[in-house]
Amino acid sequence: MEIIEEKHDNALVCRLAGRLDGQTSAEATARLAASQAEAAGKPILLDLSELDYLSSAGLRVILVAAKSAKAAGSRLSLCAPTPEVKEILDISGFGSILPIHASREEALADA
Amino acid sequence: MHLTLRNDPDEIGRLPGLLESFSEGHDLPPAVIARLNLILEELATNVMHYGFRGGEEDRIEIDLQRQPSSILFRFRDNGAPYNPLEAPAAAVDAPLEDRVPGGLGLHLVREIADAITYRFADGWNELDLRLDYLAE
Repeated sequence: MEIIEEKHDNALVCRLAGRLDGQTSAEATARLAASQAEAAGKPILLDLSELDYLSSAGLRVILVAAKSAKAAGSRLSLCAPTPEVKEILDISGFGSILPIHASREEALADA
Repeated sequence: MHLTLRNDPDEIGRLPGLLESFSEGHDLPPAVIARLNLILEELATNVMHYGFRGGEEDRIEIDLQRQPSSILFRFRDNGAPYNPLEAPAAAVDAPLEDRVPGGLGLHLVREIADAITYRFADGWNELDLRLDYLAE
């Protein structure tokens, strides 16, 4: 799994590529915590367009990051999930706990 | 195809490669393989966390069979007797403040599999599952 950070004026974008699962969740949690410290209160946008696979261990990573963003007075949102990843997010009710935008453009316009 | 997993989280990391071989032999869509991988990861993770007692004999045995429009598979483990169909429902409607990590794995399995039956026999938990893929 890879996490590529991109700084935008109104948000820190983290592009997640590969698999977010039980094998990669510990590293991803640490990376996102570091990104959050770096964002210093700016909203964080997770771009999921290159995420091929998401399991409950990965959902936990996203939930932990969303909770910690909220506790820090910031917020975390998601964009551009593939249909397969979107299905997992929907089944888990993640649409009711954080914004899921269809595209990165739409997400940044809303940030 | 038959797979055996020992009680080691790294064994779950072998699933993508093993399922790729299964897929190549049977020309299955990647989305179906991802769902199959997810169900197996969630079940195996659960058994390793809660079911196994830490002995050398801990085993998960998986049999996969392709049918014209579905994959039939059996997931067996010799951990503590446990019926995942009786796990409490996950709170998927709860707001962020009330969400606690965990509990989503078996929820995903129950939502994604098209049929599941459970039995405990001769010291083994046995789940028979069906995943349909043409009727989408």
